[in-house]
Amino acid sequence: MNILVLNPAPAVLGYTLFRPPLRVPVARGAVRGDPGEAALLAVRTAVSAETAGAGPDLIGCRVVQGGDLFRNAVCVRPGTMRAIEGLVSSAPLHLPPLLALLRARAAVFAGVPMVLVFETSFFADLPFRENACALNAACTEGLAARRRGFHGILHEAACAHAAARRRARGLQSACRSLSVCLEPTPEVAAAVGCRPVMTSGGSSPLEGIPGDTTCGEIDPRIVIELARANGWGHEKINQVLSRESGLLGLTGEPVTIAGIFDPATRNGARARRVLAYRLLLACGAGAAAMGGVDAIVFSGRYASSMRFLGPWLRGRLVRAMPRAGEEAVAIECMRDTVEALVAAQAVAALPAREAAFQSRLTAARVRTKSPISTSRSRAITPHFARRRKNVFPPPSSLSDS
Amino acid sequence: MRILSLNCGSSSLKYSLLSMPSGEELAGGEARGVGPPIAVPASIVHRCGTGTVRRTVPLPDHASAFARVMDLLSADPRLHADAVGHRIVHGGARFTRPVRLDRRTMAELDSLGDLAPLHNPPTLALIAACAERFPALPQVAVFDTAFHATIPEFARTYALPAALRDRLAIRKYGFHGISHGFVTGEAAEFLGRPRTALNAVSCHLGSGGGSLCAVKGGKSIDTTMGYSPLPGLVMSTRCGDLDPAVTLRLLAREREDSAAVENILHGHSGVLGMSGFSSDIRDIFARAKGNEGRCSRIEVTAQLYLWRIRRYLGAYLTAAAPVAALIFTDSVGEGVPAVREAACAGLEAFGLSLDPSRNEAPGPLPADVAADDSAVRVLVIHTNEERAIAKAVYGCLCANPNAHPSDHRMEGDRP
Repeated sequence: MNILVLNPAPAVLGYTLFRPPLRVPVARGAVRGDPGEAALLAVRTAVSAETAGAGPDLIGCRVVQGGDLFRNAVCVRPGTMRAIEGLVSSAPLHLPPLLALLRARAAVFAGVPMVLVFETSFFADLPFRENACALNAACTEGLAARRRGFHGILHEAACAHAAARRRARGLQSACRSLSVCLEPTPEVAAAVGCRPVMTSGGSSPLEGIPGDTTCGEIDPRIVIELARANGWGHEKINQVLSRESGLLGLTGEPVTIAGIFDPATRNGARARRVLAYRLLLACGAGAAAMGGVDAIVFSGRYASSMRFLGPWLRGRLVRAMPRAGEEAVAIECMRDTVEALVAAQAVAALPAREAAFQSRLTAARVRTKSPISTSRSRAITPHFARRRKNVFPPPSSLSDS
Repeated sequence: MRILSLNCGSSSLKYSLLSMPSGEELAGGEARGVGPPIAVPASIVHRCGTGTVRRTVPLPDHASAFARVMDLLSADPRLHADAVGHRIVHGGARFTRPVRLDRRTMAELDSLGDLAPLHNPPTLALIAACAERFPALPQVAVFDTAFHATIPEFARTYALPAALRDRLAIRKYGFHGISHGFVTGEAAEFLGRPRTALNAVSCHLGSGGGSLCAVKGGKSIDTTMGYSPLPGLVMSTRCGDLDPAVTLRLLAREREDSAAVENILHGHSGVLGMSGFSSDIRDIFARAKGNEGRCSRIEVTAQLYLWRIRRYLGAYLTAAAPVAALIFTDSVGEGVPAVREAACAGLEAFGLSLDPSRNEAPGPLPADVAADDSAVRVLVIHTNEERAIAKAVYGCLCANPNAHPSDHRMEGDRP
């Protein structure tokens, strides 16, 4: 049972191959160049040894933007591509590579079901007051100004993880989680149970917390000033705010979130203080949105930084909320990768008529002997907080015709 | 000493003549409709003693408004000013306390024009007019940004390349500092504790602009406005916080015309842009009452306005913890109980709860409208920027009559 997870991005196609229990990949890599038929062929070649030449049984694909249409993972079917094409203006860098993949899929992976898993689905029901910006509706038309969040897959799993841990401690009330996703573009979300009520993310990865190279929240007038004083156009400014800012801008050298907690990093202290403070403000805003906090849950590739950030954030939050003791706010870590979560959601999203596939997968899970017997090797299950109703019609076919 | 405080707005000039150090107001008023003629004729509302008079006079610019105000004051020899204080919106990193104005400081203020192209020029023109008419009268500048000079580096630094930050002096400056500083002092006095021991969150909510300020030990540690008065809360016509990508998309759509984008974000967004009805949030609340749950533009405007305040309250209650007081001030903060109620709702976890009846009718200000068991006191305090300016001017002139700002250079000043 082979599940291939694709992560299409501009000029690169990431891939990861899983077998149940899905948690540990059996192959992973990236193919440079724009995703398309050539890239997919390269992926098929790369994983063919692991699949004994048979290819994957299921493809899951991470998609950064699902707009208002895709509120859950969906199987690709006739019409999917057209719906995605309608969203291109909201993610002009990321959706064209996905469309190229969808066009090439029939030629390379004919008959293999493919499921799209959207980063924005988790935030589909974010209240209007949280996702709106204060512009004239006529100005925002076509600007994709709505706040959607960008790490919904990790947030959803992290909040479900925190809620499960809380239930395991015998506490039944809905868990108020601050989900701190430490990816290259970090993001904080607040969720009651698994219903998001706040996110630091915006309508693009630029908004919110500064990332490895992204500026995070800035005064809108700064953008205007960069255009006015430097004579720069929007593309040049976007380049500076997306690629030359964030921790790179603060330290003057390429550094990751994990890197700034390394004492050897030059100017690391300032970047560390800026990042930690921005995370604190977002956590405070999230706590206000939820009316309190039960757990701070970390996820993402730099989640190990929770060793420094977890106790500090908790200490500051508890100081602000004197009626909660430190013991009332749990610090958790959800270690699953986004690829593993995509694989799990892809399996769960297969329609009922694919029951045979599901039972084969279940059987494979039972047969699989885990290589390491720690909690990390348990079979991953999809962390669905709740099923959202897709605006996009349910799949009636597994492949584009 | 009689000090004339001048508060220059884009189309108004507020003034107050105060006897210092007592703070007693001898006369005051406001010139309205300053600028090109509009439908409502320009006028001056002048109060003196127990009487108020209104005069309709053409006021083509701030210099003429100032001349008419001085005509009114000079009619009574008891109303001659000994010094003038000016509110200046932007002092950059350079001016972090009140300064006596002379040719040198004026030149330095002129050099800040790039930082505040919309706000400083009318005030500087007014100062020049004042110096020309009364060359012997001491003039002192009091800065809206000065109270925020204590914001620590990690909170005032944008995550942009250092070269850009340095070249364009990009950092968080903050505004409404005269008001935030004034109500912080009043709150400390009301609570009977030293200002230096007060942690608070100050909410300056005006019908035009608004900002929150986190105060620790009596000093500003963060505020919602930033490099300019544009970000933060939803304001009458300003958008507040906005994803930089949205500004970029607007820039692309407006064919790189940065002035057009600035016009949209400054003049056609916020409460007016969202509601399409009024730029005054009080009109929106009045219209929304009884129409809850209809998801109309009016209701979503009200919701977004309140939610933005709530978000920042949570952030600043955490940043300045443990907080002793939450302060509401200015026209909306003082006069709209529903805003206080909605902003504070559900914040019991922060030790904050309102007493509904006290909040509805706070009585004479300052007033505490928190519930008895609330750990955070919720204070409604009338802001008086003119009095704060007069106090700053008096302090400046008494401490060092010949003080020059070069004595007060701070770290991070531009060369």
